[in-house]
Amino acid sequence: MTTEMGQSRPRSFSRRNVTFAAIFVCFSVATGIYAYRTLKIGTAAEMGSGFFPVMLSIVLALLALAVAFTPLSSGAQPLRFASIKSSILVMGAPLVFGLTIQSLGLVIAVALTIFLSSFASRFATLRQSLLLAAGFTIFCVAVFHFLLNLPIPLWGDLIIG
Amino acid sequence: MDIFANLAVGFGAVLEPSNLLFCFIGCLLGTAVGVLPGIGPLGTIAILLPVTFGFPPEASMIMLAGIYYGAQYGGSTTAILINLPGEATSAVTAIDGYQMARQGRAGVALAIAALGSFFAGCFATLVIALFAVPLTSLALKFGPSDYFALMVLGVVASIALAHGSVLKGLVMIVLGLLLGCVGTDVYTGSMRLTLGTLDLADGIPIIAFGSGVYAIAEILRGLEDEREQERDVLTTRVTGLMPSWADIKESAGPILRGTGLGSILGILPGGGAMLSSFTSYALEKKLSRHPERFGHGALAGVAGPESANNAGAQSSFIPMLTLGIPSNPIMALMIGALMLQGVAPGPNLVNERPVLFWGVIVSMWIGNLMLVILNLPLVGLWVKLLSVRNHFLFPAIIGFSAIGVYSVGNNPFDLVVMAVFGVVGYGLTKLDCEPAPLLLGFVLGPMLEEYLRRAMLLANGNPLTFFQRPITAGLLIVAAVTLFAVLFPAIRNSRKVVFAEED
Repeated sequence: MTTEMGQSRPRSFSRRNVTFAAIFVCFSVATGIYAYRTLKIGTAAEMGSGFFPVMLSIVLALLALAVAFTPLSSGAQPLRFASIKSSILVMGAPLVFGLTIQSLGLVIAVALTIFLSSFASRFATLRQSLLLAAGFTIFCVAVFHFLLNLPIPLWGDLIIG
Repeated sequence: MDIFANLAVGFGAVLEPSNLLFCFIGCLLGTAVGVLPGIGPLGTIAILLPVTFGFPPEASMIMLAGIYYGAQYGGSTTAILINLPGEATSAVTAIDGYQMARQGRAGVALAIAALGSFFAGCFATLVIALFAVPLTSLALKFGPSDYFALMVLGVVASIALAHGSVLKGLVMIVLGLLLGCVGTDVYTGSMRLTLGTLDLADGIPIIAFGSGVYAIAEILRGLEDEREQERDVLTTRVTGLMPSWADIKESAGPILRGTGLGSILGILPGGGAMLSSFTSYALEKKLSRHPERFGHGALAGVAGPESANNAGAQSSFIPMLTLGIPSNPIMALMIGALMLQGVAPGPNLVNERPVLFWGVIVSMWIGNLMLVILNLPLVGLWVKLLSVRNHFLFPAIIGFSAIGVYSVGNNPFDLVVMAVFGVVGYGLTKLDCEPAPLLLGFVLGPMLEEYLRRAMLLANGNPLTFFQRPITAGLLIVAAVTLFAVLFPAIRNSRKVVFAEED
C-alpha cells in the first residue's frame, strides 16, 4: 500500500489500476455474454434489444483494459477503509429497513434502522442511540405519515394481523 | 414582447401561496445541507424526490431547484467560518474566506459572498429566461442523430471538464449506460439484464441507485477516520455584516466576471457550479494586481467563485429545461423527478407545460431573494447547526433515505438495490472513481440508445448518416476533438494547474 502512494518512484503499473481493470473486464465480459445469449442482436438498421448492451460491454472491456496500463493519477487518495463493524452496520441498515417495513411497519422499521446504524460510529452510546432512534421515529411519523400522507402503514402485518 | 407575458405566467405560478412555501422550504433545506459538510444537494434531492411525488409538478420542481442553488449559499458559510467546504463547490471559497475570518472580517466575507451570489443568481435567471425560447425552437429542428451527437458531446465534455482520470471517467459513463439498459426494452418489450427477477422489469430504480452511491458510500467515507470533532467555529457571533464602500468597489469586478463565467460554464454539458467556482478563482488570481494576497484573505477570492458557483448552478438548468438533457447529475435527478411526475422533458416542455417551465424560472428570482434574507441576518442560526455532531446526523440520513427509497414503489427490493449500490459506490471511490459520471450515464443511457436506434432506422442502418447531417457531424467532431485534447498530455497538464487550487 505504501509503495503505491510513494511519489518518489513513479511506476507505470499500479496495483490499484490493475485491480480496477480486472474487476471491470470480468464484469463486462460476463454482462456481454449474458446479453448476447439472452437477447436478440438484430441488424444495424433494426437493432434488437441486445445490440446496445453488447456494444457497451465490448467498449467497457476495452476501456477497462486500457486503465491497467496507466499509472495511478497523482491525486489518488491513500487507501483507507471504514472498519468492518461500521461497514456492516451502514450497508446492512437499508436491508434491515427492507426486511421489517412490511412485517413490522414504519415505526419499528425506522427505529430499528436508526438504532442499529448509529453504532457504526465509535462515539455511540446506548442511551444516546435510544434517544436518537426515538426522537427521529417520532419526527418521521409526524412528517411522512401525518404531514405528507405517505401510504406506508405505521404498524405491520405481524402486529395488527 | 413575449418574454413579459411568459414571465407573467411564471409569476402567477410562483406567487401562489403553496408554491411560495415550497420555494421557501427548498431554499431552507438547501442552505441547511449546504452548511453541513458531508451531505450535499445531490443526496438531499435524491432522498426528497420520492416525497415530492404527491405534490403538483410545479411545486416539486420549484422546491428541488431551491435545494440546489440554496446549497450554493449555505456552503460559503461553512467555508468561511470553519475552513471546511460545506459544499464541494465552496472549496475554493475556504482558501481566502477563512483567512478573512481569522482577520476578523468574517462578516464582510459572508456579506459579499451572499450579495455576489444574489446578483449572479438574478443575472443567470435572466439569461435562462432570454435564451430558453430561442433554444427550444432550435432544438425542435433537431433530428434523432443530432440528439445522439449532442448527448455524446455532453458525455465527453462532462469528463473533460471534471477532474480525475479521464479514462476512469469514461469507464464510469459506459458502466452507467450499461446499467441504464436494465429493464424492459421499449422497442421490443423484452426483458433485458434483469437477472430473471420481475423487480427489475422497470429498470434499476434511480432513487435507490442514487441513494446507495451517494448517501451510503459517503457516510462510510466519513466513518473511515472518525475523530472527536472539535470544529473550530471561529466567531460564534459574526459582527460587521455591512461591507464598506471600498469592499464593494473591490468585489464588483470579481462578482461581474464570476457571474459571466458561471453563466456560460453552467450551460456547458458537464459544467455547473463546481467548475465555475474553480475557474473563477484561477481567473481572479491571474487578473489581480496583488496575486500574492490570494490565500491570505483576498476579497476577490471569495466574491468571484461564490458568484460563479451560483450563476453556474442556475444556468445549468438551461439544457435540462430546453432540451431535456442533463448537464450534471443534479439535473439528471431533476429529469428523473419530471418523469416520475409523468411530465416528458424535452423541447416541448415550454409549450406543453408553460406554467411549470416559467414557474421554475421565476421561482429562482424569488428564491434568491429569500436566500439573501435567510443567509445574512440569520447566519448565527446556521453556525449553531454546525455544532451538530456527525454521529447524530448519519443515522438520520440513512433513515430518511430508506423511507424515501421505499416510498417510490412500496417495494422492499428497492432497499436491496440501495444496499448493493452502497457497496458498489464505496468500492468505486476506493478505485479512484467518481460517482457523478456514473449517474449521468445511467440517466442518459435510455435516451442515447433510443436516438441511436431511431437514427439508424431512418438511415437504413448506414452509419454514415452521422456524417451527412451538418449539425450531427459538427457536434461529433467537437466531441472527438475534446476527447483527444484531454487525453493529450500537454493540455492535461494545464488542466491540472486549474484544479491544483483545490488542495
